[in-house]
Amino acid sequence: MKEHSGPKWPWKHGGKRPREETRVDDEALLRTLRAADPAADEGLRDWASSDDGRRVYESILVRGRESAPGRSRNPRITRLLLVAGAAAVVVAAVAVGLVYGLNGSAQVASVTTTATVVQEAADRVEVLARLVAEAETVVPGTERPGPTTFNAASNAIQAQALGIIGASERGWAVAHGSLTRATYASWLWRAFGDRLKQVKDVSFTDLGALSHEVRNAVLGVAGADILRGEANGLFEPDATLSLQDERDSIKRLEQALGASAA
Amino acid sequence: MDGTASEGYFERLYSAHSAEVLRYALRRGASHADAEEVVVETFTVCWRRLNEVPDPALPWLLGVARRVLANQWRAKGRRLALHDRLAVSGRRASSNSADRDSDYPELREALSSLKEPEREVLALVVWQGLTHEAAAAVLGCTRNAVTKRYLCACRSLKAQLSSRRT
Repeated sequence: MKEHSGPKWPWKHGGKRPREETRVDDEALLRTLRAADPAADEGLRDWASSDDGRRVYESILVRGRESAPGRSRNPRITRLLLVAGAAAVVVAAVAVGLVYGLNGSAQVASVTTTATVVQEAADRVEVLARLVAEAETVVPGTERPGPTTFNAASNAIQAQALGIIGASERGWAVAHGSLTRATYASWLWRAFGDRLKQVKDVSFTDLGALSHEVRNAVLGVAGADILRGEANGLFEPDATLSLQDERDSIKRLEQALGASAA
Repeated sequence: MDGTASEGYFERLYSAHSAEVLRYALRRGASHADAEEVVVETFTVCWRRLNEVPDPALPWLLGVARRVLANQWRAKGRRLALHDRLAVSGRRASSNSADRDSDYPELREALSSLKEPEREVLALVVWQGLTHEAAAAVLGCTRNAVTKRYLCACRSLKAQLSSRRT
């Protein structure tokens, strides 16, 4: 005689499925797990009202004020902004000589490069910018770079936004006609001045029309032998920066930074 | 909702849930600095999509935080790979897990042997204290799937622990 006369799988025919075990009987296991909670720190309970919490809140508001609350950006515009932002960072890094043509696939992008390549290059920029700034600007007790870390990049982004610099197909920063040697010198000085050492005394006779700040920058950069003057004692601050000058200066800058890091 | 009301609502959300979002990121293995970054990103999304935030908001916020963390890991993976390619001995982001690992070493080892989805569901249900339904909202799956994954995780964990003790 058969023990079960009904179907083998009753729940497939509208019957009730046997109830699975829906709780864990091992309370000890759960107690141990709860005790091992990596975020069990009681101090985190009131984190929102702590100094850290308020600081984070303020930074969210700063970001959020770019758009009214509850209003998403148009996704196409968002994407465009992301690509443009990444491209600007890349171009900035190209321009300050942090990045250029590291390998075949990672040629630093022209602005029209695809978003993926741009993103990859932007990551590279971040790494290098961190390395450059690491020694002096890491906030004690954290892995975060301090607020001055990206000053160089932001200066360059500004230059990009103003149309001063662009990128060539070969991945080199190319100066447009409006980038003068003085502007380039002041820009290098803002980015790297505090890390450059004077290696020779320089003086030029054609810096009289420059502002105090730009004159200092020119003398600093030339004194560090990054951007050289002409043999006749002139710097030619208003001359357009040539591609050759730019290439040479970036190479020397690399050497100088490498030497100072060593 | 006008601007002032929106800001008030947003601040209430932040006060009520930011610590939980921070804890969620810490529980998923982020360093404190990264966890704070997750809070910033998550609540920035919340600000922009304030009209879409459901009630209760916590599962929705944790769902956003989960995606933010995933993006962060992807970016970090690329950065670390890049570090290796550049052969630079830069400092890598240190996890704060080293301190935690000194406590409950057996449990830590057993947890690390679980699959990531199982660890994730344990974190949500046991540590975060969410119901299976809320955890399902975070993970974007059904409640039954969460229950199944949770039970599976508990059984695996128990088996791992007992095998290590014998």
